[in-house]
This record gives sequence, structure tokens and C-alpha cells, in this order.
Amino acid sequence: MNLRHCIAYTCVSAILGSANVLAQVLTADDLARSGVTRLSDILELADDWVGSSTEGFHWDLAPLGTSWEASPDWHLFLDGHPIGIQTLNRQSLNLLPVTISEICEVHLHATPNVIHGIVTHAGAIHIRRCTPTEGLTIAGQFSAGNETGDPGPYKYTNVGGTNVDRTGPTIHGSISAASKDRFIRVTGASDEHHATDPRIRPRVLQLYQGEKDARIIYRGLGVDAGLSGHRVGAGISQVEDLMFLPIMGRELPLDQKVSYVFASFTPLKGLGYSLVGSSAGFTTRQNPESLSVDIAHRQVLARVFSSTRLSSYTELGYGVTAALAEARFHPTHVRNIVESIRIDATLHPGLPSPLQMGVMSSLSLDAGVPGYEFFSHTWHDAWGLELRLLARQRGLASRMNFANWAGRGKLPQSAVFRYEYPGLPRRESIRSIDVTWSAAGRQIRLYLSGGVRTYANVVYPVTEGTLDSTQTHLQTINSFVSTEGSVARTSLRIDFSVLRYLAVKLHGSYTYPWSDSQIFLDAWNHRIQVGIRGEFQPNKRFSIDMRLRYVGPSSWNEYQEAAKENPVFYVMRLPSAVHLHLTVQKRLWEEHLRISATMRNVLDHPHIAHPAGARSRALFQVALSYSFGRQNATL
Amino acid sequence: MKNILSTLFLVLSTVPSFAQAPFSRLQFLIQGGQNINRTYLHDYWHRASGLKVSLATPFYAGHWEVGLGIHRFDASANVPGFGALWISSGWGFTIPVTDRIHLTPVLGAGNYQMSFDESGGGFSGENTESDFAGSLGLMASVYLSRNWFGFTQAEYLRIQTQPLMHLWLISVGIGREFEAGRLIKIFLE
Repeated sequence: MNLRHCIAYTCVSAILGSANVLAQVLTADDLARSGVTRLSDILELADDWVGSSTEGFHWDLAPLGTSWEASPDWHLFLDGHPIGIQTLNRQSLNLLPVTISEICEVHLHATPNVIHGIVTHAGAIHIRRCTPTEGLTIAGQFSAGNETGDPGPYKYTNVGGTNVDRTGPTIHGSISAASKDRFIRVTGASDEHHATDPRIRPRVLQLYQGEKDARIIYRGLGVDAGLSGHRVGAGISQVEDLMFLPIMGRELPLDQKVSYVFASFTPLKGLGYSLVGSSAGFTTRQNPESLSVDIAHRQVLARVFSSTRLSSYTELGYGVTAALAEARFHPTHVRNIVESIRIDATLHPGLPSPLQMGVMSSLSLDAGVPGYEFFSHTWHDAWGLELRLLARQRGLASRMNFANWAGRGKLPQSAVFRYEYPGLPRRESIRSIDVTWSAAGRQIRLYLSGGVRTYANVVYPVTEGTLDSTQTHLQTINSFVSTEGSVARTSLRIDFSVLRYLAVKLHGSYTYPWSDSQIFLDAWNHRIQVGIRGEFQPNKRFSIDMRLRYVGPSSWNEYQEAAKENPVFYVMRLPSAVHLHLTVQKRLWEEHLRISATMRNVLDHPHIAHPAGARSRALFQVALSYSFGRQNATL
Repeated sequence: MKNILSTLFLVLSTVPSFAQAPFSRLQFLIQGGQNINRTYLHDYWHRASGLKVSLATPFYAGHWEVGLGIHRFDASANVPGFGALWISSGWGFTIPVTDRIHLTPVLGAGNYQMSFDESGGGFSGENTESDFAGSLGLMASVYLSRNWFGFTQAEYLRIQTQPLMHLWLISVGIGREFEAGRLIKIFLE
């Protein structure tokens, strides 16, 4: 990367993140061609990420071998701003009030990185939205799907059950007006989900009455604007949900709410700033057990940054970040505030090309606990080699999530929530090394990477004694324990252009954890994933996208007690499964209108016995998206 | 890998329907069919009869078709009868047996929308059901003139209900083939 082309805000991040073969980048066209209608569908395109879902809407995602699924620690960024959507150890992408049509790129970081001054030690998903094109633009998308397993005519006989599943309608819309250096955009989204698979029906029977009523109803609204380098945005989403909470071992009728607001300025020279506030939480609705819980988690993060050129090839970037987080737990009205401050500096020493290097270090104070981070990224353009090193030791408060509140002993004790936190440490530490080699020929590109991470004093929630959730009396105890261990991961990706209009991609990832602690080993549910993707695109108007993904067997030992009660609902070990995904898309009117038909499938039926619930067998989905732009230079 | 695919492509190119320019011609087909097999479904409903209309056009390889079919299942027990609307899209290729006789295997997928008659049996809920359907068919066609042809088709239809619906259908029909006009070709492309 030529430093002369860097601008102050993005330069430091760009240096650290450049030659970024470890990040998988999905473009807007990738998303459109592959039938993505919800943010969680991105998982199906992710090479190194795994996930599980109880009902097909909320997905517990994790980069394989970097962040554990049951206690995700990966970061979510929207246009460079960190957004907190985590509640009770879950962060569901579909809660984010962002529509597919406004997304330009999604960067999937499965290994540690630095994004806009923040060390993403457990991976990150960075959603970058397009700046609207000049003039007036209207875009919309409609999709709806039908899952297999309906009783059909058999509902009138003694062998047919009740209705099974529908997906959608999922409706996204946006309108934007833009001129050369300013724009404003308003987006809205609505979605419904109807999962009532026979595997989970008994668990929701007393909560979910309607055959055709939606189980999950989502509404989202967003607005963002830009003016001469300043950028502001806000969004809010609300979900009426029957959500399965592993930590409670049952479904609860909830109203979930996520909101964010941000403002930032990216100057070519001088001081830049970024200010982000986000909130996530839920409130229980009326339920048979009369449980009343209200949880809210809010955080504000402010960052100022600048850079100085030390010589013609050497640049120093620096910044200060302050964060304030508040958690509120009803009914016992526990309220807690933590603060964190961090200073960081990044040096690009300007080594002779083609060897490049970026080094970042930071000091922090998290709720009074001092900590540090060190990250270096070295790469050789000609050899295609890349090395990333991370050393991180910070107070638990730096996470500003559920584990932090637990570690500080701030969670309420009630009949609903019972926690134990025996002797937790004040700090956790991570050491990480990743090496990548990439090579490109005329028709083939190859990426090979491997890394090792060592964790010490990390706090991990363990759910014990969960009775079968069809029981009405809750007996769940959640322990927060400190554990340590190491994880090695390796991944391979081969892009192969077979014919002019036929491209094939092969990818595989494998993770191997080792530790004396069984709790640490149990945290890594998925170990292996292998896939192939074929894209047939004879012209710009038609495409076929086919993916076949093998997910290796996974284990869920935290369900041991529940499995004793009900081995059908809570199997502890799942067999491997092959997922098939096929999308055929036709584009009309110079690509303004796209019509897609998608089939998603889990080919191995035992996989529907997910420990927490069900997986759909096959989903047949139809989508229409339309965009209309009118050039108007006078706007 | 590349060599295998290239060879396969070359071999398939020799089959007539693989050699045509995409969307250059259109086939309009209409057929009447009868369900011939017997499964658990037929303990409650008589075998269905139905009609189907289809449009087919040469694709980059083989041909692509869309179809709209209706089936009627009359009740034979104390259950409501129902009609079904079958919307499908399929891909196939033509194997010439002689100049006038062609065999065409077709693989299809679509949606099977069922509408039930008013139920007097006290059943609750909505009276429609919709599910994914896959099909596999073999059509034998005889050209009667340059553009007209008659055909018979055997088709297996699998509807992904729980339990599954397996339907074997035999149908006869007539088809007309014509050049796709410029506007139709532009629309399809």
C-alpha cells in the first residue's frame, strides 16, 4: 500500500488490514446472486464461520476456532462503527436494522484484526453500506418461502399434524436522495418467521397458538446521512419473539429492541472523530409462568484520532477511545455502569517494498483494571506471505457484555436467574499468531492459512442442570468459570475459473482445541467445515449459484442434564450433515428487477434434532428486488 | 477437472437441444393427465386427473420450461376434496430417436398449492396448504408436421408434505413450436 494514498482516518486501519486475504469479502452482487434475503443468510456464504439456530431466524454465529458460539465475542461494525447487539450472550445479526439492498460489502474477519482502531481479537463482521448514487433512488425487496413438512391433505387424516413452517414475507425498502457531497437515506424492513417444526412444537405449545400466525415478527427502521465528510446515522428494530434462551432452557415470549446512533468525521488531515451509541435488550411478555424480566444493555463509545507523517514512508497514527456501558436488570433493579478508556498508537515503519509492516499498541483502563494490546501485521507482496501477531491482556469490563457483568458479580439472583461465579479473575489474556500464504495464477487463486490462539483466565458461562424445557419449573443454574486452553485452526480456499462463465470455489476449515479444562473443550462445538460453490453466469441477466457444504459432527455437552430428561430434544452429539443451497436468478430491465428462486436444504435428516430445537429440512423461497434511480443533479 | 467438463460440454453440444441458440424458439404444450398409482393418500381421495400447460425454450444447455398444472382430488372418505395448482420450472434435453420421434427427460421443481373444499368434519384452520414439489418426467413426442407434435409423458411428482405425497401421472397432449419473436427473445434474455 502506498502511504501517499492514505487518508488520516482510514490509513491506520488500512495498513493493518491490507493484503487482507484473511478477510472474506462479499460484495453486493455476491449477496444478490446468492439469494440472500436476511442478514443471517450471510452465514451460508461464509467460508470460516459456523452457526446454529433453534428456529432458523436467530443464529449463534462464530468464526471457526476464533470465537465460541455459546459466548460470542466477535465484533459487529456498521460503516466502521462498532454496534453492540448482544443480550444474554447472544448476538443475532437479524436484529440489526439494516436492509440487504443498502449493503455494498460485508467483510468477514475470521482471525484477529484491527478495524478502525479496535482490536477484534475474536473476529468481526463489518457491514459497509453503499453511499447512495446521485439523484433519487428507490429500492425494495420482497421474499417469501415455504418449508417442507407441511401435512398437506393429511391434516384431515389421522397421520397429519398441524402446519409447519413458512418464512417471510420479508420486505425491505429504501429511498435515498444524494448530490455530489451529501445524501440522505431512509430504510424500512419487515419480516415474519413461522417455525413450528414438530421437534420444537411441544416446547412452544403453550405459547404459540396459531397455525398460520407468525412466531417472530420483526420491524426495523433506519436513517443515515452524509455531508462534506460528516456522517450520521440511526436505526431501531423491534422483534416480537418466542425466543429459546439456552441460558434459561426454554422459550420465552419477548419483545426485543435494538437501536444505534452514530456520528463520525473523516478528514483528510487533522482530527477525526467517531461517536457511537447502541442499545440492546428485551422485555418479557405475558407468559404462562408469569415470568417478568427486563434486560437492557447500553453503551456509548467515543473516539478521536489523527496521524502524523514522520518521514516520507513512515507514518504514526494515534487515537483515544472512551467507552461507557450500562446494564439494567429487572425485576431486581440491578443497575451497573462501567467505564473504559484506551489510548493507541500505530506505526507504519516504511520498510523497503515489497515487505510491509504495521504495528499497533495500546494501553487501557477498564473499570480501573489496567491492560494492554499489541498487534502487528507483516506481509510480503511478492511472496504472498502474511504474519499477524496479537498479545492482549485486558480487564473483563473491556468486553462490556454479559460475561463482564457476571464477572463483576452484578447479575441479579432470582427464581429465573441463578448464577454462580466462583473466584473470577480481573483480567483475561489472549496470545495469537496467524500465518497466511496466497498465490494467484491465470485461472486459480489459492489461500492457505493457519493460526494458534492461547487463552488464559477467560470467563465462560456454563449452563448446568437445565431440565427439559417442556417442564414449567425452571431449574437452570448458570456458572461463570475461568478457564484456559489453546486452539489451532487452519483453512484453505481455492478459487478456480473452469470456463468463461463457470467458477468453482473450494474451501475448508478445521479447528483443534486442547486444554486440561473440559469446559474449554466443550466451548468449541463445531470443528470442521468443507464446502464447494459453483457459479454459472452466462451473462449479466441470468445466474445459477450452487453451494454444497459439509459440516462435521458437533457436540453440545452443556445439554448433558437436559438430554437425560429428554434425549430427543437435547441430543449431545450431532452427526455431520451436508447442506445444499441452490439459487436461480433472472435479472430484467437492465438489472433493475431481480427474480430469484432459492432452495435451501439440510440433506441429513438427523440434523433436525438440534440440541436446542429444529432445523428446517428444505426451504423453497422466491424473491423479487427492484431498484429505480433517477439522476437529478439539482438535488 | 477442466478437461472433463470441457469434454462433457462438447458431447452435450452434439445433442440437438444443446446446440440451439438460447431462447431462439418457443414450444407451447397442453396436456391432460391421470394419476395412476395408489398410495396411502388414495385411502382418502380418488386418483387425480388434471390439465397442464407449459412453455419451453432452448437454454444455454438443454431447454428450460415453465408449467402451470391443475389437479383435482375428489374425496372417497369423510374428508374434503381438494384442487391443486402446480407451478413448476424445469430443465431437460431432447434425444432424437428418429427424425420425427424424440425423447425428452425433464427434471423440475416448483410449488404445489392445495385448496380444500369446505369441510363439514369440524376441522379448523385455513383451507389452503402449499408445499415444495419436485418432478421427474420422460416425454415421447412425434412430430405431425414441421411445427406440430403430439406427445405422451410419464411423470413422477413428489410433494414434500409430511407424510410425502408420491404421484405417478400419465398424460397425452399436443404441442406447437414456433420461432421466438424479437420482443419475446429480448424479454426472456
